[in-house]
Amino acid sequence: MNDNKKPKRSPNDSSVLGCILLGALLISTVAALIAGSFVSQGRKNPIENLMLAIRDGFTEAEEEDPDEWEDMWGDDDPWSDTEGLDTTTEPITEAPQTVSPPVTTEGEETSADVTETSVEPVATTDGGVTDSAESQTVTAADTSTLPETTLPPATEPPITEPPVTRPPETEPPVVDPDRVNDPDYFKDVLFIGDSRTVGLATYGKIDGATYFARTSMSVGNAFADKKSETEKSGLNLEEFLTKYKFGKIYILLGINEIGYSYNWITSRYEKVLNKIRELQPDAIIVIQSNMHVTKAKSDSSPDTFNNTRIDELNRRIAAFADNKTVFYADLTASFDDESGAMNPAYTGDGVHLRAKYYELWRNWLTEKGKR
Amino acid sequence: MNFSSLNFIFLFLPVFVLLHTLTRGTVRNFLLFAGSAVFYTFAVGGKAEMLLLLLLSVAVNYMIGLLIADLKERGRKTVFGLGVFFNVLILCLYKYADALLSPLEGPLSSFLSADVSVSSILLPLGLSFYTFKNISYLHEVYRAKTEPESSLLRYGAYLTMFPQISMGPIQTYSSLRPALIERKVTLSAIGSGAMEFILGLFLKTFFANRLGGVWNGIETVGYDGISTAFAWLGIVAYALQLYFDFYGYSLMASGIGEMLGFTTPKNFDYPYTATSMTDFWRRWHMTLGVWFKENVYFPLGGNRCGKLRHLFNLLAVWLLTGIWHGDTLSFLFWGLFLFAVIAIEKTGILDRVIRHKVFSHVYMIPLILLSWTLFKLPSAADLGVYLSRMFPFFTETPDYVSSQDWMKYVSGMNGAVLLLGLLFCTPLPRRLYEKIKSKPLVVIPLLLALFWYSVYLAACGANDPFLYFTF
Repeated sequence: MNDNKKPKRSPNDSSVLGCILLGALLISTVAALIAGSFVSQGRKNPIENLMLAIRDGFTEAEEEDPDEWEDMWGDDDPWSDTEGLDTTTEPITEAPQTVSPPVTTEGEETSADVTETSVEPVATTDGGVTDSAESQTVTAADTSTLPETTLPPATEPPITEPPVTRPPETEPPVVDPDRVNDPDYFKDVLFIGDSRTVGLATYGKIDGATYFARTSMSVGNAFADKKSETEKSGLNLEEFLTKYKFGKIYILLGINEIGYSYNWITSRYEKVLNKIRELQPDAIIVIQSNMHVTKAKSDSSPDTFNNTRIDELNRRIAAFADNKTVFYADLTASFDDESGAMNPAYTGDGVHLRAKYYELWRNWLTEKGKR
Repeated sequence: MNFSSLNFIFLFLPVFVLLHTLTRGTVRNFLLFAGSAVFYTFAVGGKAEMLLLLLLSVAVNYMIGLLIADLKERGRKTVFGLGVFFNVLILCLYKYADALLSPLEGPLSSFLSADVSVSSILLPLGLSFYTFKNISYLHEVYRAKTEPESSLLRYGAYLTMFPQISMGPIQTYSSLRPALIERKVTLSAIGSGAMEFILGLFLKTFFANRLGGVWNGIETVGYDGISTAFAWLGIVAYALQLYFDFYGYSLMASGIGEMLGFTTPKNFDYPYTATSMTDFWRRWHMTLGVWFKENVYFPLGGNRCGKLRHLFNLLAVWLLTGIWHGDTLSFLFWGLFLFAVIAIEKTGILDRVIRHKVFSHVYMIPLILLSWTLFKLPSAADLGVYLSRMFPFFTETPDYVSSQDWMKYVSGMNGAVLLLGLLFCTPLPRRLYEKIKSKPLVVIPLLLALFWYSVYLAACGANDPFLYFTF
């Protein structure tokens, strides 16, 4: 075998150099620690302060985030109205409530939910909110029945054919005769969404549809100046919706921001809907429910990515539907197993469908998702 | 706590190095032992039984070492054999706890009328590594290659030392003995150790953590849903991730060792530039290769015996290498695969390919990728599907497969990381670095920039579900 000696280093070189480097490291670290605690206003221990400060680019609070999380609509703290409820102090043992909530936690849940309701701007449009003092289980059950009872009979969409200009770059895929498909319906459909919709664009093979989707899209950043991953125009969403017209716009957003307060999400959801309406006055909008995650994923994420939160969010965004030009469509059940969580067979990571199973989504869209 | 966590970089390491520099002799070794115990406790998330096992292992092997040195021929052999058996037994018990106990799970649960779960038995961190350190120590004492360690404290420091405890390198006791007894810590050694540490940190955070995204993408989509290009891209990215993760870690370990006054053996020597499988395993995880050579291959007779015996010795080494890397049957097959390739190379029929400047790589790179495919996919069903996607000649491509699915992993920043990763598999960047190393005006800003960029990447990846899990 080769000799195991380290590469030779001449001591003269490294002795001075090493000292300078150590000095520089020390000085920059001290500076960073001080800056970190200054920026974070001493919220945590110095190293966590430093970490937060490094991540947020040494700017105060959430104003400017280096990653894709900038919020286009406002700067209120995404967690502010849920302190002690959604993201922080909820103990792990309480979380998986899909079965039946223990009696001891019910009081806490209830009061928390009422607090939540009182600051919820869109709650008044949904009669169900006042009932939310009941347990989460009931809420979840309500959600699954909601669209069936409130949607009009699936007749013609209440619009005349709008002028459709198709993005020139998306060529129609080859039609497979075995596939459930309806190119006539989907030719003026635009899907907007996060990585789940990116997956639909890649593996759904829906003939004729257009997609504006990108990984980590949220209602906070949907209209950020970013292009989509699924079409080649290079435009951001606002420019895209200005340039091309669609008859039906399907939205699926919410899983990325599910850790934020319901209030934060719904207020931005509403803004997204208003903006789309402004740019596409003649299109109908279909709000797709957020699919569940698997039970394992849900149980492992008591504060964030769990089905209790997803059900509650779906219930709240369903309230935006007026059943005239804005519809809510519940696709959650198509992917659920008996326990009401996403079927583990359909997914690799508990959240995204495997390539093969985007077919289920396509079939659902073709058979039940038309409006 | 691991080397790329901010608590380690900004708290544990500087405080420890400072205290270590200020102390001498026994106190210094006590500090190393105690500090390593603290590090280990944090690294295993406070699981006391894992720390206890480590300490037990220190005590038992320390005593066996002394006993071997004291005894004469027959007893000596017996005690050495028992010592090796003890270490191997513990490793196997933990490794195969699941397989051994899961049939008992049901009956045991009903017998105790409680839920008995064996899946909670985890392989203690670093057990595979420190078991091999123990065995090599006993073997060295047995062969009288070294004096036995007379101080429990020093043996504890040797076995548990935090730079090596979680992922090696598997350093022999004899090579560390002088430094364990007395080591000089200089400011320049700390500085140059810090340089190595920064380079390792950069490789880990910049390459390994990012390249992991490609394989995640493949697992999300499912092996049956990927295009052939994606399948190959996935295994290339995995090969790079594995390398930069382990190489980066080894550089950090070596850097920390240098800061503490130890000389750490090299663990990687540009393995992906290897010209044969034999060559690859001389360059990949080198301390493991040396361990098998010293403790299995040579004692069995190496190549200084009959052809058949030589073949058997090779088989033993590679089966054990396979078993050491994992606990499923697939690792045995992986070991067999390596054995087959190496045995064929030993016959000399591939010599013309291996000695060729270009064809050697044409031969080697796909073979390494294939071997990592076997390594990465422990289930035969998954492996079959994946191979059918890599070589789509015999099966039909399902119609949901998208031929464009790999594009986003090679565009923009992802593509840049991938290309740079390939470049960093060659000795070129290191050669360049050695050239500018004596120019403080270039190298200091460079290292500072690498350091803070790595810290930024580590901070982004840590503890933040909103940045880490984006859907």
